[in-house]
This record gives sequence, structure tokens and C-alpha cells, in this order.
Amino acid sequence: MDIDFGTIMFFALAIVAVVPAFMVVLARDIVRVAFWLLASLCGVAGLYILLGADFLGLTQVLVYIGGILVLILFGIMMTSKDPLHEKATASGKRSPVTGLVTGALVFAVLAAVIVGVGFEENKGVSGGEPTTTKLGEVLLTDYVLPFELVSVLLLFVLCGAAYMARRRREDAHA
Amino acid sequence: MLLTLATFLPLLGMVVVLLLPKDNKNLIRWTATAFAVAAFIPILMITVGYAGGKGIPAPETLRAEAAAVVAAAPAAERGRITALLADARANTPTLREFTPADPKHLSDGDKKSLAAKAEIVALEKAGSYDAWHEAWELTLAAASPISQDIRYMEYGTWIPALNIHYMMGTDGLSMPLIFLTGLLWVLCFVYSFSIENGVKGYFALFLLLQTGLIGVFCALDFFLFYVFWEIVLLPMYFLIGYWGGANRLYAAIKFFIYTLVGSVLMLVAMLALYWKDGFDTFNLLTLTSLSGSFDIGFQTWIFLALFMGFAIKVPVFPFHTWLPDAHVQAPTAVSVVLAGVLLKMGGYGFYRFSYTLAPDAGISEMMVLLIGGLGLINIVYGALCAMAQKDFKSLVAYSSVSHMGFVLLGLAAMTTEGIQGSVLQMFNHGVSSAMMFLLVGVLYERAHHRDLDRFGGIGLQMPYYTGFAIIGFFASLGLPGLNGFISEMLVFMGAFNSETFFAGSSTVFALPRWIVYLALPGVVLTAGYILWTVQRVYMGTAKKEEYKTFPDLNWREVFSLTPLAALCIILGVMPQLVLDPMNATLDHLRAFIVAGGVN
Amino acid sequence: MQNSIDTARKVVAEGMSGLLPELLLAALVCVLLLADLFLRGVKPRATAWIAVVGFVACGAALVQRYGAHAEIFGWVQSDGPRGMLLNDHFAWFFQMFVLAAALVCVPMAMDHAAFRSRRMGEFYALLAAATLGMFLMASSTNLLMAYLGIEFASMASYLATAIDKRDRAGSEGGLKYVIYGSVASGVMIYGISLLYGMTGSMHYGDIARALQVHAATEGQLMIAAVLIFAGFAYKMAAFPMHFWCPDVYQGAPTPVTAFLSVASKAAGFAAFVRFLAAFTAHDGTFFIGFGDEKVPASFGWPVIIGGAAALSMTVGNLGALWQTNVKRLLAYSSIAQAGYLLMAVAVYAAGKGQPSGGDLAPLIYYFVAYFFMNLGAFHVITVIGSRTGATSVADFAGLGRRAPWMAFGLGLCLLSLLGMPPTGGFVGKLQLLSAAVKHDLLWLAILAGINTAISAFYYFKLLKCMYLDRSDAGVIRSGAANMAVLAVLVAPVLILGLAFSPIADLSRGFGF
Repeated sequence: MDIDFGTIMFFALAIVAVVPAFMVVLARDIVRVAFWLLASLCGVAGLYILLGADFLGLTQVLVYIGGILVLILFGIMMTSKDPLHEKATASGKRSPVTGLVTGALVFAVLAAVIVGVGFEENKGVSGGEPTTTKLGEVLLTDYVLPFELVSVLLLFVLCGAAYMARRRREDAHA
Repeated sequence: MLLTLATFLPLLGMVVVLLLPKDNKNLIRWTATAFAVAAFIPILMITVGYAGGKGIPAPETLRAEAAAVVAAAPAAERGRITALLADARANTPTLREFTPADPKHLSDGDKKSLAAKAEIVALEKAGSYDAWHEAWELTLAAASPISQDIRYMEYGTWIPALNIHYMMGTDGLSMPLIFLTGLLWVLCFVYSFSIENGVKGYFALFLLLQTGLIGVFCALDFFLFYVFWEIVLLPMYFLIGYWGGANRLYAAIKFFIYTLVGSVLMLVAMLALYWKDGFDTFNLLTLTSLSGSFDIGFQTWIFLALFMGFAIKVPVFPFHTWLPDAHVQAPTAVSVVLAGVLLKMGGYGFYRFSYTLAPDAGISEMMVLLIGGLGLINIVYGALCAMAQKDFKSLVAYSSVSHMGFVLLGLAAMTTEGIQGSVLQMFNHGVSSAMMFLLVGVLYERAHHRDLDRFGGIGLQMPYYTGFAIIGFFASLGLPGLNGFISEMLVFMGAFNSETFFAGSSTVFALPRWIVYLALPGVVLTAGYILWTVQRVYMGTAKKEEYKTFPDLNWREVFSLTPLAALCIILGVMPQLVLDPMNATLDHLRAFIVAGGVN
Repeated sequence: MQNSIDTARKVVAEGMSGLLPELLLAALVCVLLLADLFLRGVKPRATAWIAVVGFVACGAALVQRYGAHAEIFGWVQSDGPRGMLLNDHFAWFFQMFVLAAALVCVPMAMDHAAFRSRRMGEFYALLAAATLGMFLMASSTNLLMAYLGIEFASMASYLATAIDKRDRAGSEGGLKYVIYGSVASGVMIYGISLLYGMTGSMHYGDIARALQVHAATEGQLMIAAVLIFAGFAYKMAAFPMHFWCPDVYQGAPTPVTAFLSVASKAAGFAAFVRFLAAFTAHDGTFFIGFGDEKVPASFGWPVIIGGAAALSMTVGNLGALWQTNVKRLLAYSSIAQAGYLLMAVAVYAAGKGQPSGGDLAPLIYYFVAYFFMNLGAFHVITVIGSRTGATSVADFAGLGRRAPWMAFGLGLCLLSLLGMPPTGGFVGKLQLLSAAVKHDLLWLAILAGINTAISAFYYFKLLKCMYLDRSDAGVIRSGAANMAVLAVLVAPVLILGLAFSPIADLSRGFGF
């Protein structure tokens, strides 16, 4: 097995993705969990870029790190009375055995499938070239219908979310 | 037309009753009774007509229908259809594709089948497949040995998409039961005038029940039969559940679930027959005509699935536990029809469906021992249970279990006398158990309890009532000169004779004689509990002062009891009144089964 | 570049003309959201009427599309089109089905206590959006589209469940719905990515073709297939994704429950059957292994789906036995019904491998019957519930006297759900059992039979309450409009049981 730069990078990013993921589960303070998640998501984004999916990698950074993670932190900040106090994720202790066994089983099955299947036969676009142009083109040609439908979906989900979040006027008066 | 009238007049009656004002109870009662009487008129006409040999025999009707179907087909296809019908059995439609390995080595039979298959495919292309299929069904049905005794047949298309037909007819097997249904309904309605609570619903449901029952006994299309079978369930549930005793809800749902389990299994068997080899037919006569060719494995499981459906209804031990509950909780008239006719649906089903659709399975060792053995258990166990009862109605209910055992015993014997006795026992039990439940009801209306140990001396107070009671109970006991004796006697003769009769037969498994020996004590036990009951209730002195104030029978009660008492006596002296019309049917049926469905 | 844009322009132009009903629904969503702002205080029911008009217009457009067979929004390749949506008879039936359910839910919602005198534009907009999502589910020929349709319908359903913010049960149901839904869709998309990796496409035709030439082993495919099935099963409320069902059905406002139990389930089945057809194309055989070691195999769909069907029925029926809340009881009943319907799908999968071919007629017929009996039952529960506040089975005591027609309607629907003749449910179940027996799934038929007997317990619990339990409560006035809706829903239950020949014939025309 010849070790080149790509391989080294892969393992480095894989460690960045997986080890913090474990910490997300194991850490007891929710703020720490959020930051471990940040690291893990960064690792995944790096893997995407390494595999030639540059647009996907950047989207991952923008959406998950820039959007969702920040939202989580805001949520923690706004809902807690004392931001500096430690917040436990779970109350009481549970036996980890069930979780470990289930997780290991699911991992084994999925790993077996992924390793066993000949994905090579369906290799996608070649690595190296930037994918943004190609993606943009495909989104507005072959996948134009799903693309447009997502916009309708977002429209009514936004309205619905606003409706859910809004305090009803009757409540406010009462 | 007569059968349709008899079946659907009660349904019309139900609609009319529902439209009547709720508060005019007498109007509702009389209207319902009028419809029961109206339905009884065509039934009487059929009964008398059938006994007198009138009515168009089914094969004629079926052939005429087949001819009409062929005539309605396009002229170009008629010749092809007629040619295929010439040997309808050989040219059976089949889904089984058979491709011979080497066409040169085809046997003559294979060649013929292949030729027929090609013809059928050609018909399919020409769009005349349905016409041919219906003509094929009808031709085979006409050829079935079962259909030769069926008369007053009515035939029409109901649901072409699934090949379901409205096919009704009656023969010596169903005719007595239809007669019994018609009679009991008139008697029950007159008796039920004392119902004061929810009169409208009561009579409406009762009329619906009648439609279901007459339909069950007339239907010759399996699907139609199933629909009627299920229609019986619902009014029964509500009749027990609304007008019953203290524990009525439990009894009602128990009755319903038990029967539903059985009927669902029956449904699966019915569908298996429909799809069997691509026959695509629910026509019972067509299926009986083909049943001889079913392999024994298929027959066995069809038999068992149907057995579950019918055994629960009979009820056969160990599926009998719903019966005492239902009987004890049900109002009197409902008990009467439950014991009188509903239980006969099971026995009728054995004869009409189980044994004709799976004849080889029916005469196999396993089934003979199963049916005969369960019959034995029913007789003895039912009698023992009856003896242990404190509740009068419960006692009569268990006596039904015991008496229905004779039906099974005669059936398992498969001898002429056995079968005659068995079918006659169904009719006789319908008369005597109906009478017994009426008698219990009369007493309950006065005493408001049914505890056997608290009665006594009723005979002195209510002499007319006691007279009827003696007839009813002794008929049930099997006293010579009354109807029960004849049928039990015939069953025992037939069952005893089975081993001699089938001595050399390699196909039919004879009912072993030890079963008969073991069943004999049942008769003694029956005599025991009935005499004991008569002694406890009617003899001696009144145990309570209030018993001395009991009025004797009123006109409604006399009206309900008299015909049944008369039947008990008349059929005890002249059983041929019932036996003669059904002899031919039962002989042909027996010959058909014993031959393993080959005709 | 220019070339592909031209092609895209052409594809969009062609696709749009075949997309009128969907476009109308999307427009209806926007109109309702706006109307809600402008019509506030003018007339509380105005938005409901707009919704009715919109649904009817969509229905008219759909009727116009009847008989079409076009794969739209795709690109043509030498061996066939690669569309996003396929408008055919099958899709048409389920779209009409969903639309009719939505239309029936409007008067139900107008009558429902929680919705009276409140701004309902948002609710109807959500209803329209859910309908649009289910339209897409029914016609999708691409896993991406199917997934998007499911998300579309789910998002709208989550919001509709929690629409009554005063109702804690509704909010709780909505939240549970979201959480379980996210899990289901996550599992599904994992399966999709596996299958995509194996076959190189998300288009059903491509998947079918890929399975013909090369693929993974049967076990690997089965993992992917089962993961994807989980997503569909969530919409069907079938085992193993049924956990959300009781809480959501109980918590949601009854009209929403009614819509979910009928339309959402139907759309889930439609989408799944389409996906299944890709797997079982070409006589149900496909090849496993690589290169020269390819061997034809028949995938274990009948067993997988049959197993899910058996477990759905059993879990649903056993769960329903101890329920005292009517909506919860019907939720479990709906899980059981999903089991019966899955049986039809299992039979279809089994039939695909045989010369006679798969037959979808039993599924279609059962759905027609299910539409009327389930909506009829929920209609009565809405009407009675909004007048008396009845929620538990015991609250329905004496309904036979208090509201005779409503009780009769509900009774008939329950008997139909149970499968007693002469109702549509019986004929539907008969066809299901019949098909199962025909395709040698005898064990499934017998299990379904036993389940039917079990279900009698709880259907009769309600029937018993209505007719056999006495109650002194007063007579309930249901109103003429509700009576009319009842008649429209209940009369077909009887018709489908007595004179079902034409409909049975018709149902044969909606397969593939």
C-alpha cells in the first residue's frame, strides 16, 4: 500500500470526522457537544472536498456550520438563564450496553454492504474539476422540477413555521 | 320464484317494520307476524310441492340456462363452444401449463387436452371465453349427481366480474330445514308479543335473521351462501346483546367471535376452491362434480377448514362453549331459533359442503374417527354436563350439545340408516329443542328465575303446560312413539352397521363399533337428566306459595306450542312424512360420497 | 451548454402542459396564504370556499388528464425516457383519490369545533400543499422525486397536526410526528444513497435495467430495499414505522386525522408500488453477482412485504383491543388496515414473478372501499365530537337513539372495516384474500382471516356502545350539510358491497 498525500489526508480528515462524533455522544455539557459537532462537520466537509465534491463540501460548511450549528448555539444561549453554567444532556444514567450493541450491529451490517458492493462500476464525475458549474447546469435542466418544487416547499414551511412560532393574538390579550 | 319470495319477504318485512311508528307496538307486532306468515306460504307450497314430486328438476333448469348462454354467444363461436361442452369434464379450463418434453410421445389424452386448450385459447381471443365458461359450469353442474334431486332452482347472474351467481334451490336435505325455519318464525313471533322493550328493532332484526337463514339453506353458490351465513351473525349479536339476560354482552360477543373465526376459515377454503386449477367458479354443483379429482391433500385441508366453520356452529366439542352462554342469556324466542335452526346450519354445512367438496377426505380414517369420535364426546359429555346444571335453560342448552352428537355419529357411519337418522335428527331436534326452550321461557316469565332446585309441583298448578312439557321432554329423551326415538334409533342402527356394511371396502373407513358401544350410555344419561328434571320441576308440591298463583298457558303460548307438540307425536308415528321426501336425496348423496366423488 | 439549455427549455415546456393540476395546487397554496391575510374578518368561511373551488378546479384539470401516459420532466435516451414524473392511469387514480379526500376534509374542517371562527387559511393552504406532495408521490418515477413528495406531504402534515395551538395533545402529536418522521426519512435517504451507489441512478427504469445487468448480492440489495421501504412504510403507517400513528391520530384535529389516515396512506402505497415495480420489472427475475457469475434470482419481496403485512395487522389489531379513545382505536385499526393493504402489495410482488403477471386490482378496490368507510367513520366522529365533545368510546353510548342516522353510518363503516357482508369492506377483503390464495400466500390469507376475527372485538366495542349501552343524554342535531356528507360517504359503502361489478371491472384499469 503506497502512501500518498491523498491517503494521509483521508485518514486525517476521517479522524477529525469520527473522533469528535464520538465525543458528541459522550460529552455531558451541551455547549461542548455543539463544538464537538462543529469539528465533526468540518471533517465531513473536508472529506467531501477531498473526494472532489467541492460544492458539496462548501455547502456543508455554509448550511451545517454557518446555519444550523450557530442556530443551536443561539438556542442554548437564549433559552438558558445562566449561559456559563454546565448543562447536562441527559438526566440519570443509562446502561450503554444496549446502545453499543445496536450501534455495532447497524455499523456491521452497513459496513458489510458498503464494502461488499461494487460501487466502482458507478463512479461519478472525475475528480479535480470544479463541480459547481456542472451542478448548476443540472439543477436547471434535468433536475429543474425538484429544484422548483423545493422552493414551494420552503415557502409554505416558512409560513407554517411563522404560524407556529407566532403568539396568537387572543393569547396576548388574555 | 317461490324460494326468492320465501327468502326476501322477511327482508321486505324488515324494511316495512322499520318504517312503522315506534310507539305503535301492536302494529309492529302484527305486521312482523304477517310477514312471517307471508313467507311461510311459499315455504309450505314448496314443501308440499316437493313432497309431491313437483318442481322443475335442477338439471333441466341448468341445461336450459346453458343452452341460453350458448345461444347468446356469437354465431361464429357457437360450434366451438358446443364441441367443447360435449365432454365438459375433460375440457376443464386450467391454469396449469403443461409443455410435454417431446411432442412425439404425447399420449392420446394429452393430445386431446392440448387440442381443447387451443380451442379455449381461441375462444378467449374471440371474446367468448366467459360465455363458454358459464356454459361449462352449468353443464357440469347439471351432470352432478347432487343436482338431480334439487328442484325449484333459480338461476341468475349477480356479479359477473367474479363469476358469482344468484343460484337457489332446494332438495330433500334443505327442504325440511326451510320448512322448520318458516314454521318456527311464525311461532316465535306470536310468542314474542310479550316483548315490550325496543319492539321495532327486535322484530326488524328477527326478520333479517330469517332472510339469512332461509338463504343459507337455499343458496347453491358458495359466495351467496357465505353472504347469507354472515348475515345471520349480525342480527343474532344484537338480539342477544340487547334483549338478553344480565350477562348478555359477554354472551353476544362470544357468539359472534366464535362464529366469525369459523366463517373466516370457511372463506379461505372457499377461495382455495375458486382458484383450484383455474376453475374460477363458486358454483357448488360444478365444484362437486369436479371434487372427485382433487388430490387427497387438498381435500383434507379443505375439509378441515370447512370443518372448523361448521363445527363451531353445530357446536362440536371443544368449540361448544359459546352455546350455553348464548342460550342462557338470549331471550326465549332467540333461544328457540338458535337451537331450532341456527345449529342446523352446521350440520347442513357438513352434508352440503364438507362431504361433497372433499369426499375422499370425508371417508378417510382420520376424518371418520374425528367426526365419529367428536360425535361420541358430544353425546356423552353433553349429557353429563346437562345433568350437572342448576339452570333450567343451561340444561336444555347442554342437551342440544348432546343431541347434535347423534348428527355427527350418523354422518360418520356413512350408512343409509345412519345418514337418514342423522338428517332426521336435525329436524327432530329442531322441533323438540325449540319446544323445550319455549317451555322454559313460559316458566321463566312467571317465576323470573330458572333454578331447577327451587321449582316443584308445577304440574298441579299448570296442568296444560305440564302436558306440553311432558311431550317435549319425552320427545327429546327418545321415548318410543315420539319423534326423537326414530332418529336416534336410526343413527344407532346405522352406526352399528357400518363395520358390516363397509367390510370389504378398501376406500371407505367404517365407523368402528366401539364408538357406538361407548355412545350407548348417552341414551341412559339423557333419560336420567330429563326424568330428573321432570321430577324436580313438575312433580311434588310447590316449593313456594307464589307458584300456586301461576296462571296456565295463555292463547299465544298454546299457539306456539301446539304445532310443535303435534309434530313430535306425528313424526313419532309416521316418520315417513319427512323421511320419504329426503330418502332419494340422501341415497344419492351417500352414494356420491362413498364412491369418492366419482359419478 | 446552449444545447442543453434548449433541451431543458423544451422539456420544461412539455412538462408544464402535463402538470396543470399540480400547478393549480401550488397556486392554491399561495392564494390561500394571501387570502387569509386579506379576507380576515370579512367572512370566516371564505377561505374554505376558496379551497373548495381550488380543489374542484384541480379535479377538472385532473379529469382532463385522464388517459394520459407521459413521462415528464426528463431527458430521452436511446432505451427510454428518464422522467421525474409519470402520468398514467395508476397515478391518476391515486391523485383523484387524494384530491377527493382533501375535498371531503374541507366540510369536515368547517364543522370541527377547533376550527370554527378562526383563521383557517393556513390550514387549507397546508391541506393543499399536502395534496400536492401526495400528487408527486403517486406519479414519481424517480427516488429523488418520491423522497421530495414524501417530504412535501410530511411537512404539511406535521404542521396540520399541530395547527390547533391551544390543544396540547395536538402539539405533542405534531412534535412526535416530526421526530419519528425525521428518523424515517433519514433511514430512507440512507437506503436511497446505497441503492444509487449500486445502480448508478435514482430513476426507476434505470434501476430496473441496472438490476438486470449487474448489481450487488441479494443480501446487500435487501438491506438497501428495506431501508427505503421504511420511508414508505412511515407514510403507510405500516409496521415497522407505525409508532407515531396512535399519538398523532389522537392528537390531531379529527379532520386532519381523517385526511392522514386515508390520503397519506394511499399516497404512501402508490409511491411504494411504483418503486416496487422497478425491482420486479422483467418478470420479477434479476441478476445477482458480478460479471460471468451472474445468476437469475427472485428477490424476497413477497416474504418481506408479506411479513410486514402480517406484523402490521397483528400489531394494529392487538393494539386496538385495549383502546378507549375512539381516535386512538381507529389509529390502530388503520395500522391493521395498512397490513391488509400490504397483503395486496405482497400478492402483486408474488404475481410479478408468474406468467399471469401482477394484479393491482385488489389494492385499488380495497382503497376505494377504504376511502368511504374510513372517511365515513371519521366524519361521524367529527360531527359527534364537535357537538358533544365525545372522545372516548364510552361517550358514544346510546348513539343509536341520540343520533340514529349518524350511528347507522358509523356502524356500517365499522362493519365494513371489519369486513362483513354486504359492505364494500367485505368485497375488498374478499378480493385481497382471494388474490393471496391464488398466489400461494395461503399463510398470509389465514393470518388475515384470524386477524379479522380479532378485530371484531374492538369494532364491536364501539358498535356495542352505540346500540346496546343505554344513555340518558339528549338527542344530537347533526345539521343537513353533515347529513348530506354522511350520505355521500356511506351510501357507496353499501353499493360497493352489493353491486360492485362495475367498480371491480374499473379497478382493473388502474394498474400498470
